[in-house]
Amino acid sequence: MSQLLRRIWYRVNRRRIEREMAEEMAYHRELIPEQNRLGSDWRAIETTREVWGWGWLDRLTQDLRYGTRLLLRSPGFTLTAMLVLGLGIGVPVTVFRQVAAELHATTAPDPATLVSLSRRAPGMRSTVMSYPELTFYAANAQSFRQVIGISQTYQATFESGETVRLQFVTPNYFQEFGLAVSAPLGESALVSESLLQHRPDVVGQTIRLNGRPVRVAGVVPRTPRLRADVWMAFERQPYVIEGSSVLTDWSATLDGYARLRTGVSSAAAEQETHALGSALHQMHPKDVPADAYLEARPILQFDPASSEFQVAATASGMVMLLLVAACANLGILVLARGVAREREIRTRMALGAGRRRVVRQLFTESILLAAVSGVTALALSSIALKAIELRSDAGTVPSGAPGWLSIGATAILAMVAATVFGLPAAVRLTSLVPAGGRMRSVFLGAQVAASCLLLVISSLMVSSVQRLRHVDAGFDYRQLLYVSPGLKAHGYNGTSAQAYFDQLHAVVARAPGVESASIVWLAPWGNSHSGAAWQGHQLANNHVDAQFLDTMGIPVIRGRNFRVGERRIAIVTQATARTLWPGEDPLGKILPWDTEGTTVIGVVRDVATTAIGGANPLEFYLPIATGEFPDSMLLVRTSGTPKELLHTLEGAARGLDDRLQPAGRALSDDYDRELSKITQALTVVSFLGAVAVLLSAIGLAGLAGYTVVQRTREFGLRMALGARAAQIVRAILSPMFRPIAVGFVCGVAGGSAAAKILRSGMAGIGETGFSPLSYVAVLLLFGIVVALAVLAPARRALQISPAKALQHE
Amino acid sequence: MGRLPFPMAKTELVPGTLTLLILRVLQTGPLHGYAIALRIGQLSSDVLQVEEGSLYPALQKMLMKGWLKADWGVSDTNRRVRSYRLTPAGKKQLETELADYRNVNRAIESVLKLA
Repeated sequence: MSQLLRRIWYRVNRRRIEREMAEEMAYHRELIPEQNRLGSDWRAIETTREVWGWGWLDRLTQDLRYGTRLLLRSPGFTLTAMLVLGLGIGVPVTVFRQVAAELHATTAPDPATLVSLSRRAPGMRSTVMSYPELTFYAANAQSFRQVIGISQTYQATFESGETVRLQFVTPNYFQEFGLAVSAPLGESALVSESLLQHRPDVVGQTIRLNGRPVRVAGVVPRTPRLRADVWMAFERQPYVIEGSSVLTDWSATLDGYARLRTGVSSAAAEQETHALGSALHQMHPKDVPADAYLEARPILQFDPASSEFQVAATASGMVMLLLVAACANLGILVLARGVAREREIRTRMALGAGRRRVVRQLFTESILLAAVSGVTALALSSIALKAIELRSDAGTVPSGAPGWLSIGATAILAMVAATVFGLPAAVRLTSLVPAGGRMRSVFLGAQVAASCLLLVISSLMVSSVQRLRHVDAGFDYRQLLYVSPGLKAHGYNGTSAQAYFDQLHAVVARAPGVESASIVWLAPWGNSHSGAAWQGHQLANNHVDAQFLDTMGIPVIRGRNFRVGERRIAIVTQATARTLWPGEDPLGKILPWDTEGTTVIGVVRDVATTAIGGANPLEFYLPIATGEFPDSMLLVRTSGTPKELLHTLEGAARGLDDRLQPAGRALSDDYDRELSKITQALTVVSFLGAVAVLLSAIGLAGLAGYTVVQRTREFGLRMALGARAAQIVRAILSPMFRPIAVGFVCGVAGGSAAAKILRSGMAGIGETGFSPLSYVAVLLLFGIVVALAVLAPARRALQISPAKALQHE
Repeated sequence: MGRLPFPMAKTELVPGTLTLLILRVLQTGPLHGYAIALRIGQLSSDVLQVEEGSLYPALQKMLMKGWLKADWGVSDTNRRVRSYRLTPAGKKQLETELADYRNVNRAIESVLKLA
């Protein structure tokens, strides 16, 4: 320790100490005979620096100073390198910052113990639960430390007229999901930060919600997960929503989550709910099916087989490929520059610089380059994130100054890059063995492969989306809209809800522009899903009335439609029929998981009504039953513009019961939103492709330039001896040909494999199969890039004058 | 200070022994750089000559290790000189190095006798 202090003391006082030593040595010399005066002060001083252990710092400063000077002296090279590596590092860093911000904003603390609950029973799976069920499991399940419930969002009137989104939760919700609220929930309400922006004075005040006085206790911080403006406890739902029976209603309406007790696995928890589910069935045989249990799924699952994981892995792989391409590219540029500096390097080595010393010096230059590129990358990523923020309404964009984590990530990437592109080049350039060009080929091949891969992926994705835009949804969604009156929240039972819908149907049918209307349980392309699982297939269903197929415009292929009052029958899609009864006639078949003998009476054309764009829709429809009316909605086909009818529809729904807060929606909105999500993803992918092409062009131009410089004398001589221009160009291209070809083939093969994985994870893109056009486009584009990149160096080679070439070394 | 066990050129020293010699000559009291070299020369009857190019870096190293302390003073000829003295750590180091050296020396001697 004290030794370290003495060293630092030396470093600080170095000049004085060296001066003193020189003085001492001068005195010493005066005293000894002339012929014994050997050695130099400088040598002794240098040895002393080593003794104190600061030699490395001196060498580093020297190398840095030298490197900086060199980089400043060739601004063209430096700027190109900064751009190339800045993009190569900047894109992964941008993705990293975005993902880190999203993870930070959306994951609950200690995600490993947080599970989402689904209701299961043989042949039944529902992602929503009822409040009595939730409280039963909360009180009785030993595996759960906490059970958390979150309602859907309800529209509510805030003060005098403004519509806000209201959500009911269990009070533990905020803590378990890591939301730092400014006050506990209790009897009062919490409001969102965005609501607070219009109404900064509400905290601590009593406001009116649906006309009821409610005190606002505090604020919920803004995160992208939140969908509501106002939160209240479930117990307060009947108070704010007139007629709500949520506390006693056994039909499902809310999302359930649970915190596992320490050491309890989700499988063990599920096991426990089997016993509890049976007990619950004993108590409420009408409301809870036999053998009911809860499925507990960890919210955070790193399942390498899951498509989300594969998509994420492929996407990050693609982004890293850009870094690979950038590194390979820079490797070529550094090698090319090194050739021009060969004389300098040889001179230094001849003067006695060890190879390690020269390698270290060259490598220091690379590190310097990587460092400035890292700074460029951070700046680029900040600009990109700012642009994303301006374009999207999502609140997760981490714009502003980069955090320490992203600075650290950038530094690591930059160091890795410097090692990849700088070290091999430095070793190669100091080698006394004549350059074999293998390193160049490896760099070139890697770069072409990475660029082609990205190019193929973006081209395939873009063509998929082109197709998606023109895809036939199977029904004319542009003319469809629905209104959800939210009867259940207001305590309607099945009979009263059915009466309400009959009335609403009659009113709406008379409205101008309405062609057809149908009562459906779940909104087409909506967020709620219901279905069955059988032999590894997930099937989706909906409960609909007899007008559903007409309203949607789905043709019956075999059998017939529902008739009013029929029970225990089903209509299936062709895909469902193919899957459940391959090669057999589906009519008259009984749904294999059904215990009530539900029989298939009709087959309809394959149309994905539950999710957008599914190519193989495993769906089936059941007749809507009285019990489902309180949750149901009215689906309407109009000959006019759906948006214009929305208001009429909501008005009609409120006209029958003025307590209601009906919510209407046009189906095209859902479609457009889904499409814009995909389009956004594709913009990113195309951007990657464009960057890859740019990198390729720079790399190829650099390599061609390198070849021309290296072979100036040869080209000059050949021209003097009458070589044609084509022969010279061929001479430049021929060493590149093999690595380009190998890289191209690898890239294209890898690209189609990666695109397959990516497409599987994007709803709506589906399996569009092989598209030869994309590959031809890639090949053409790449050919043009090669030609353009080689153009300038080739021109230079053709202008070499033989006389000059002979002087050239 | 015994004779070195093998012949050597006048200005050369076995690596590592310079430290030992410096520590030893400083045991009797503080000396400045030239005096250290002179003393080593005299005591070895001019067989061992310490060159200033290696003496001063060695002194620096010993300062770094904390074996020596240096103080500026004035010489008999009224020149500013720096004299070095042993620290307690230096004394301890001298004992260790001396013991080590004697061990090695004895071992070499016995090999030479028997071979």
